[in-house]
Amino acid sequence: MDVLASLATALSSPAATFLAADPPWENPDLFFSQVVAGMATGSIYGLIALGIVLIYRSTDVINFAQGEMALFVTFVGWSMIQADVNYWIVFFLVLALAGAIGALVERTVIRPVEGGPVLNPVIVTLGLFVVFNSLTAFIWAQGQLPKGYPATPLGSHLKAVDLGFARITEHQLMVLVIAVIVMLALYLLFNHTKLGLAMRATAQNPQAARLMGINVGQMLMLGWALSAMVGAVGGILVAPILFLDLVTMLRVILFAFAAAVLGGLDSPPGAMVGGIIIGIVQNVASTYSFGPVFFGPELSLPVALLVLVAILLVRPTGLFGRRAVRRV
Amino acid sequence: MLKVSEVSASYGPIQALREVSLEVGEGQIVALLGANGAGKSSTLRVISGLLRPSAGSVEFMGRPIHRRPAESIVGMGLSHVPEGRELFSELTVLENLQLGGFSRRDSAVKGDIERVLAYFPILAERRKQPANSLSGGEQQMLAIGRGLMARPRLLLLDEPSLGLAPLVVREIFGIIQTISREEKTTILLVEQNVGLALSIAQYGYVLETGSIVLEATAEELKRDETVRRSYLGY
Repeated sequence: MDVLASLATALSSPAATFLAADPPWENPDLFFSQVVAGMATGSIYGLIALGIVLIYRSTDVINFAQGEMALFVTFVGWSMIQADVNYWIVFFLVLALAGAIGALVERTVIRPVEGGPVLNPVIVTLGLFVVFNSLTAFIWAQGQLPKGYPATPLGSHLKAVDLGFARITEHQLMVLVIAVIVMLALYLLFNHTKLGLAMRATAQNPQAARLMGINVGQMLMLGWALSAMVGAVGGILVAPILFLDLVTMLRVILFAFAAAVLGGLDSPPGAMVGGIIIGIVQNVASTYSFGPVFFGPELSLPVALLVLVAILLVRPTGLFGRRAVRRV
Repeated sequence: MLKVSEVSASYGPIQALREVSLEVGEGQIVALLGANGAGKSSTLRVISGLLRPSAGSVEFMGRPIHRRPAESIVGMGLSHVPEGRELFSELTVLENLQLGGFSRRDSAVKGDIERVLAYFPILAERRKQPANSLSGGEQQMLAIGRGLMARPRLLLLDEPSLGLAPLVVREIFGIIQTISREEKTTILLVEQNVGLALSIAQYGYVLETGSIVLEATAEELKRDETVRRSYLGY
């Protein structure tokens, strides 16, 4: 028997109980709901990706610990919420803590390896991954895992909201709103403040930045702080959906990296767009059958990565990446 | 205004400067001459704080600056236009100029941008363009303009003629003279093009393998046998 045919048969009747939905034209409401929900998940990938990009473009360091740093501070937030602290107070305290940790990490372990061999910062951030994951396990894993984290008071994770063309949960809508606010805040910071201009200048040419009177060390520290804060927003928003567990961020970070690469690795808007594309593809692939092939939720993840590879084949520097022109 | 006293400096094991001493008086254009690798750029890097000297001292307006980091020196009124321009290549002309005024706390920065652009009309036309879209000459103009934005009392210029066509070089040197005259900016000029440098400078130093070997007024240097044979080629 034809191997491809048998594979197609296997894929069209997966062992799991998931069934492919009716095609989009028969149920446009479901299709748009899936797309908008994908955008919400994608914005969370995008937020973590944004953190990765902010660090990469200023220091050429890939922070593998991005997700775990966010996980750690979100767990701290969980503890505060258990102590009946107001949700929004927790939100901003977690952000502040994340910023402090980001700055501290840059100052203490990243700066010494800067300018050295390329692999050194890679090893250091991988080490940080283990440190933050173990620390989280040490403090919180004695109790029951996973732990539930509340959605924002403005939108329940269980109630649906009708947008007219799509139905998503209130929390998903809040994720989209908060992602837009974060992007807007960063845009204003980078493009309309003297500090933001100095940060961009530092990212491009640190030595010339010093000659302008910019304290380069401070800018790098600030970049890490900002990145950790954006990551923390992602952590807080994803926790109500995926629950808080030691592996929660592993399910996010892979797609966040994919999103960052898709966007071009040095473009903040690119990271967000990349995240959203991957979120949508993942959702659509898990809902619909394509010809005889139905990927289902299990295979939707590799499909999303397949799309990434396809796009990179056409645009090797990502959607918004600069052509790799290096200063000598 | 500037007093460099017996400064030595090295990059790792390679010694770049050996007991270099020089002085720049207020309002002057002083040329620092020498062949490739003689230590001209290193001297400027020590003055602006990018390179920490291993010995000796640098005094600017009577205050020692050789232990200060580069980012705290520019605010004192000392601006370094580095070799190879070192622009923020993806930022616009306007953004580069704004950054030039980063160290200033006063509110006249906006007005100064227009004043600087008046020296370089071509840049005014390209104010919204990224720096890397400019021609070599325009980039050099932007680098000088960015340096001026700090309202420096002393401007260090490193090889403003590098890689530019003769006509463009003449234009830029004309502007440098104008700046010296109208802004009362003191200038320390590093150049490989010795004839050109001596045509606008009042005083000059010659560096060879990290040491000052000769110093005199520009007129004397132009007549000097060694300078003529080694650098002017006649």
